Order: sequence, then C-alpha cells, then structure tokens
Amino acid sequence: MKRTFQYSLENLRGLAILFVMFSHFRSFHALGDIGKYIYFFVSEATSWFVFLSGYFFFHIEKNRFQYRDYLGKKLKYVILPYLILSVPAILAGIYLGRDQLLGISRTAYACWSLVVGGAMVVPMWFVPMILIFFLFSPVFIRIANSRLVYIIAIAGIVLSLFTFRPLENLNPGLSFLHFLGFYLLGLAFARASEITDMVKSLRLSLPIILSGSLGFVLAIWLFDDVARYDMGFYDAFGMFNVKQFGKLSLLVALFFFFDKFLFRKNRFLGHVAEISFGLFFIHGFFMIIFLKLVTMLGPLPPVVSLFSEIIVVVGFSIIAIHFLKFILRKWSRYVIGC
Amino acid sequence: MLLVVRLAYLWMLLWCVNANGRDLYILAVGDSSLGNCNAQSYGNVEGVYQIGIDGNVKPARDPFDWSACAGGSIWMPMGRIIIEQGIAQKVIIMPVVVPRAGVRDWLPGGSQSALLTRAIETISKKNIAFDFVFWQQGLSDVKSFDSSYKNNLWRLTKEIGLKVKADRWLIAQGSSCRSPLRQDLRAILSELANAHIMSRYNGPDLDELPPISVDQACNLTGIGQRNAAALWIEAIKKSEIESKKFQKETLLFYFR
Repeated sequence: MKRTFQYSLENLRGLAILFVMFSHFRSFHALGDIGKYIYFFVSEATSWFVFLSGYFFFHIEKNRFQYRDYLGKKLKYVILPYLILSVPAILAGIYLGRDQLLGISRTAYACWSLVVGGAMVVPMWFVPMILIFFLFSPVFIRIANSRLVYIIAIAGIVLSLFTFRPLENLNPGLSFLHFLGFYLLGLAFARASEITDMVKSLRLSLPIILSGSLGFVLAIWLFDDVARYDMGFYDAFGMFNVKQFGKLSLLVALFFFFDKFLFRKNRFLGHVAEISFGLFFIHGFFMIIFLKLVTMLGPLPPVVSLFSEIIVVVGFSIIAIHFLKFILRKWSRYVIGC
Repeated sequence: MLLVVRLAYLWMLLWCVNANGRDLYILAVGDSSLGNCNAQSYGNVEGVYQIGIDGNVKPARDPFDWSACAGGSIWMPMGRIIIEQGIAQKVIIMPVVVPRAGVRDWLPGGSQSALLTRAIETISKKNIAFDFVFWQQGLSDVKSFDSSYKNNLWRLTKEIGLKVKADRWLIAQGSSCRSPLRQDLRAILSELANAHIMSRYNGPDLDELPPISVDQACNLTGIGQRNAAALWIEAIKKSEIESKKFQKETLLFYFR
C-alpha cells in the first residue's frame, strides 16, 4: 500500500471518531427536525471504525500474523486500558446507585459492567465487542486470504443492514453480529487494494463517490421510523436498517473521496486519528460531566447547549488526553490506549 | 386467525405472570386517581392487604392509610383481579397519594415532602422490598409545566428508587381526566418509562379510559376504578415480558 493511501484512511479514522463523539450529543435532540437529520448524519459512525479495524487488521497482519503476539498486543493496548478505565466507571455507577436501581448486588453490577462495557460510560460497550473480533482473528485472517472473502463480506453486510444494535448496546455478542459485515468489508477492501487502484486508473472514483452520496440521500429520504432503532437486536431482526445503509453508502463515497482529495497529511484529522482510541474511551466520561452540568444549570437554549457540548465533550476530551499523555508519558498507551 | 393470535398472546401474558405466583408488593406514588378520591368504596377482599401507618401489614379496605381522601380507590378491584387470576396469592399495597400534588410538592422543601419522607422511613424500618412502584402523575403539573419538570421528575423518581427497594417501576401516561395530557409532558413521561436500564417500564395510558370513567371533578367513577385497575394489571403483565426481554438481551438476567 502506498503511504499516501494510508493518509486517506488515517483522515477517515479522524472523521469517524469525530462523528462517534457527535453522535453522542444530546443537544441535537433539542433542535427539532434539523437535529433529527444532523443526528442521522453523524450516528452509526462506529461502523466506519469497525470497517477500518478490519482494513488495518489485514493490511498490517497479512504477512506476519501470530495469534499469540496479536492477542498480547491487544491485551496491552486495548484490554488493559479498558480494565483501568472501568474502575472509575464502575465506582461511579455504584456511587450513583445503579446497582440498586437494577436490583443487583455490587459485585454482580461490577461483573456485568465489565462484560457489557457501557453500563455507566456508554461508549465503552465497544471494547467487549471488539475483543470478540480479536479472539476470532485467526478465522478472519483465513477468510481474508481466501477468494471467498468478497462473498462472505457481502453476506456480512446484508446481516448488518437487516439487524440493529442490541438494547442500550449492552450485549457484546449481538453487537459483534451486527457490526460483523463492516469488519468483513474492511478485510475485503484491504484485500482488494488492486481493485481500488484500478478504479482510480479507470477514473471511476467520481461516479462511485456520486453513487455513494446518492445512496446516502436515499437513506435520508427513507429515514422515518426512529422508534425502530430502540427495538433492540431480536425484535428488529430482519427489518431494514436505514441508518446503516446510509453509513455504508457514505463510507464508500468517503473512502474514494478521501483517496482522491485527502490523500495528503491533514494535521487536524491526522491528530484526532492518532488519539482516536483514547477519545473513544475518554469522551464518555465528559458526556456524563456535561449531563450533570446541564442538570445542575437547568436546560440551556438548544444552540448554546450544542456549542457547550462541543467544548465539554470534544474539547475537554482532547485536552484530557494530552494532559494524561504528558503525565503518563510512555505508559499512556496502557491507560488510555494511545 | 387474529382471534387465535390474540388469545395465544393473552395466554402467554398470563402464563408469564402466573409462573411467579407470590406475594405482590406495590408502592404507588402520585396524584388523585391512585388514591381514595374516587367514587366507589370497597370493603375487605381476601388476600388484599395494605401497609399501615406503623409499617405493619394489615387487611386492606378503602380508604387506605397513606392515601388522602376518604372515598374509593382502584386498589380493591385490582387486588381482587390479581388474586382471581392467580398472579399472586397475596397483594400488599401502599398508596402514598395526595390529590393535585405536583412533582415539586414531593421534592425536598415541597408541601408533600414530609409525607414522602415518613413513608420511606417506614418502608426502610420494616425493610420492605416492593415488586412494583406505580407512578401516575401529570395533571397537577399541566398548568405549572415548565422546563424544570423533566429534571424534577427524574430527580424525584431516582431519589425514591435509591431509598426504596423495588424490582420495577411502572410509569403511567395520561391524566385520567377529560382532555388528553399535553404532548411535551407525555413525551417526558414516556422517556422515563423507557429507561429500562433503571428498571422503569410503561404503565397504562389512562387517556385510553372511556369518558364514562371520569366524573366532573376528574375523579374516577366506579366503572373508571375497575377500568383503571384492569389497565394497570395489563401493564404489570406487559412489563413482565418487557423486563425479561430487556434483561436477557442486556445479559442482566444472568447476573441476578
């Protein structure tokens, strides 16, 4: 792979983490219909993150994959930070009486929180799910090395488009099934780098960007039934997931758009991408802080609330990451994952 | 065909609840229709009890100890149906209810705060764990509704939830009066009722009660009491299924 191409994916990763953070903003919901569409635009960017995980997994590991080494790295840089950051999250949950409200013991609450991830700090649901992807890495490397990868990826995408997230994101196994298609698509794209090069040489990038964008517009047009997204995995199984269809269309468009127009280093997106994993962990804590602030101050005008949320959740998360990196130095990867 | 499906659904609802034949403890907090301001009073019903002012369980009859007004309530017909349907062998009810009490009235410093505190202290002293907390309120806040309502409602229900052991909350919709509840208030109650992560579930929509259920003063008629009781029982059964589904999908079920 060419270095320039990596930049485009790096930039896409930066955009994905920004979208993930935006999708957790509560202020959009107070903006009426406009807020509903902005939310639609930014939500489900986790799929891009999963796609990039699959892409980078094959790109990096294809010629050197050793299961034990791979898992060891992931334990050090993903699971260890998760366990460390779970401590304040679980303590906060117990302090706020979540165990009591759920009618379970503190020990049960702590164990359940670790298994499902997002019991208190919502975005942490991602880690138990991605752990399942890590555990299945030998299967994925075999799939990626096989010609069947494209067919399997298409089947996986169909599954992702006809399933929904589990209730409150609190089931890593079901989340794994729901996002599996995007991971497989990432493997397929990494495997097919010659095809993407061919697309470029045949000047097909623009038609693909246009088609992806049209697909996203179609998704906006189709998007109506918000309630469906709260139904959970089982109840909504088999229904068409318009949000994921929109994100898939936009992903294809952005993949080629970034490749064509953003193949150079972008300082902002590159930097955000570099600390993306830390942001994924940390911004959930600032979401809680923002919510507490709003509860204390009383409701703010929607636009003020939105800008305050950008400052608190995005701005303070970035500052906190830099502060922690400065304090922890080389140990920061073990604590905040970057 | 539709009839068969509906019968199967009802059978499933009944089966789920019957599987838990037990003593059923219900705490109710809210405004008048949960209390004793309604038309028809009932005497004792076998198996239906209340928690008295001293915290002891005793046979129930209208009016209930912790409830304002001296008229009838939904509790005796509800208790009777629960026993008859075998949902529980014994129903123990504690309605802490004051007519026209708004959310602010129950919060610290509010006019009903002392009553609520006393009730919670009694519950704690006797170490009572409830199966359900019924919350039905809204009409009293229609006129004074402002942006603080949501925060106050969440704060109040959370504070009660932290002090009172309860398996599940049922949040009712509607005013049980002639006009439907305003939409913004309804949306807030609905959001609270969908916080399954905090064991909150949908109670009945009392706006569904036929007009004959409510008198001129917005209290329940005799028919209204029985209809409202039936709606609450249906909500209990639905929440049983919803709760199990939520707990299984979020894996909570395996940690209880």
